[in-house]
Amino acid sequence: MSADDTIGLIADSARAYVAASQSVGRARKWLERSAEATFDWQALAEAGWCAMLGPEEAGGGFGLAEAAALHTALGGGLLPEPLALTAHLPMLIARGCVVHGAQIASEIGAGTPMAVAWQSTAGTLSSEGCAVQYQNGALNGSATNVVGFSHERDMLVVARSADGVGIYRVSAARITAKEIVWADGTRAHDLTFAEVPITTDACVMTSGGDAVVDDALDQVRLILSAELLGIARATFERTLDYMKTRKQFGRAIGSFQALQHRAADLHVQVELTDAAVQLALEQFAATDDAHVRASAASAVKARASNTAWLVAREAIQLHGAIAYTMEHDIGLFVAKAMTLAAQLGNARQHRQRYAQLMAGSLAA
Amino acid sequence: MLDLDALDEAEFRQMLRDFIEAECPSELRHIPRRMRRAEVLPWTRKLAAKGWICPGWPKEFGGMGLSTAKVLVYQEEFDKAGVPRAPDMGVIMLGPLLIRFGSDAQRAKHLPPIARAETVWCQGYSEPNAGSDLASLRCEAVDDGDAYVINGQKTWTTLAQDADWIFLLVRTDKVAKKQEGISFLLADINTPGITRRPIVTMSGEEEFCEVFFDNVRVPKENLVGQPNQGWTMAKALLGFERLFLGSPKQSQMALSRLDLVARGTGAFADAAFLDAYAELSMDTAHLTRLYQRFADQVKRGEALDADVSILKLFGTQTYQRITELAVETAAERGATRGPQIFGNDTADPLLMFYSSRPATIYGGSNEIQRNILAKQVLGLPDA
Repeated sequence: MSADDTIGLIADSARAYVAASQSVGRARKWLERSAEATFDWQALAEAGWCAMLGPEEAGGGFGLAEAAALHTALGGGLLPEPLALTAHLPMLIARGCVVHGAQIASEIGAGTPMAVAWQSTAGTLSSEGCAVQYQNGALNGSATNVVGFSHERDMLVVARSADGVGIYRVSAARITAKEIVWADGTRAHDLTFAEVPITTDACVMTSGGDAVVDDALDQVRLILSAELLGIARATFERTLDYMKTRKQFGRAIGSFQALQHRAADLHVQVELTDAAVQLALEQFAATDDAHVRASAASAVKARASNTAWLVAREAIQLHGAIAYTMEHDIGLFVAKAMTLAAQLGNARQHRQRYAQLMAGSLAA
Repeated sequence: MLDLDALDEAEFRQMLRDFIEAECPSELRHIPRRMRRAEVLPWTRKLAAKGWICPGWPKEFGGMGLSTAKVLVYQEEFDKAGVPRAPDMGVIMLGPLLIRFGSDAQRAKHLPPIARAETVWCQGYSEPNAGSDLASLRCEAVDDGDAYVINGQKTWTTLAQDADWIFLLVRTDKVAKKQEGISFLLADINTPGITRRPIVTMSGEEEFCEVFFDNVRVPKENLVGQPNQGWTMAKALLGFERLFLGSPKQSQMALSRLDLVARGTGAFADAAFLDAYAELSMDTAHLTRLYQRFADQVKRGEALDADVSILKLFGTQTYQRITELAVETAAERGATRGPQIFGNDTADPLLMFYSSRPATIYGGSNEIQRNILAKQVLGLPDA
């Protein structure tokens, strides 16, 4: 089977899952903070999607191209589970660890999500500002916006010690957490570490963790960009359908040239985003250079974040008043677009990082 | 005789690069304006001697016989090297049309001189009252026994001053539906009754002419295909042209000029400039990748669908926005005439700005491209 065939099959099965599981309806429950909002990690695990970026022996062995195709399809269905942030991200981080890698891969692959605390303050894009210290067997400090946190599960923590930036597997039982809710209802937490004890065998790596985490973040940015592409496409499709059926002044509103031109401009941005994802995949496949990969990640995340939010705003306007009701589904697409657009850096932040990387290489 | 199509892509590219390096004068490269026939002649002569004027034509007509994939490579290498564009209406527009729809006699008469760069053609399509609505054209050709008699006016005829022949869309049936009353006619530009008047553009250049036809007699043998089939034939050849019009090369060239201006003014130290530059840099990179998607389709032998309008629409917008940032960044020198010094280089932001204005208007205006996308790709309804 060719690589393209595999990608096609993955995308097909993801689309089938989205339809069968009534993904958009599940997204609504999360947005409305309904008591019935659930995750179905088992289904994702059974499909092999949690394990996909892990080792082949553990059901993985796939790469970014497959993950991107999967997430574009799942994004179209507003998948509620934070698969990218709590399965792929920890999987990519732990992959290189000889001691813990296989165990973590096995747990994630079986459908147990794993939170990653890497961000010190809002607005930062890398582990550089890491605000957790590891000293004398304990963690102290803080981390923000940790998706997938649970007191009942172990998590990965990026912390600085005398040896450098390390990554630690930590029981979350003694971590203080304050809940934040994203636009689409995804829960995250700001964490405080006060003498949280960890044993030396909890160490995934003692130093060089910054390079590993930062590259993993860049890979997940590509995956989120693919998901944003799926969200944008689905939002746009629904908007086109509305334009073709909604009648005012005796004709479909989609027959008015001003709106046709607006739709054409959105179509251009969506297709550019598709090209941006393909380009980023090619760039990641071609090099291990951290700067090039960061630049590629910023270009695609900036594009995809911009497009998804743009399509969302235009979708509201093109639907008119009905879009402003909680009842109409377009609001779900808007919330999901805004959430993913802002995770791991939004369009403006990534344009700035792309510019800085470029200025840096120009100065060199 | 070296079989060019049998070369692998890398070898073919290297061969082109070597030839360009050796033969194309550096003073003719990366010139932002369209150059005149006489200016490009030193280069055109060398290409003609090599038999390299018509990359996509079959060898039997003097072409290089290249596959579409290799024609695109040829174009890419020439664009990258900033090679000047020889007058090429005959090569790109008329040649393929004659090859497909012309008679043996027409092919034998007209194709070899184009391939030898001896005869230069211009395109007589647009009229003062027929721009976006080209099908409403009124320049007429009346059957007068052994000749057609042409009366009317064409406008925006690119480099007609340098041309020897003109190909025309003319009205030959005033009663039929407008697209069904148009014929395709060839005329020697020195035929009595044809007058050319250069149009001076905003940038002070004379790249286009008005062409007037006053009882111009043209032999019947100059009709291509059947009478009243002109529109259909001209449309049939449109696909590849839209890829050409959507090439990222204009944006890439403008970006390198903007770079030069920015270095010369220290603009890269300004965060606001850097943000705007980064956006345009990403737009150009993504445009380039999207262009590749369509080029790959062509290389695989697939027909281009209406979606290719995206390239022309976004490509020309990006090109213009880059020139606008260059004008802004250059401050007073963005509104001063003539080449300006920036650091150790020169650039002409005002001319770049002016030269980029027609891009969103010609080749199917961007409004028309949006109409095409909306109706043919997105399926939005008519009124």
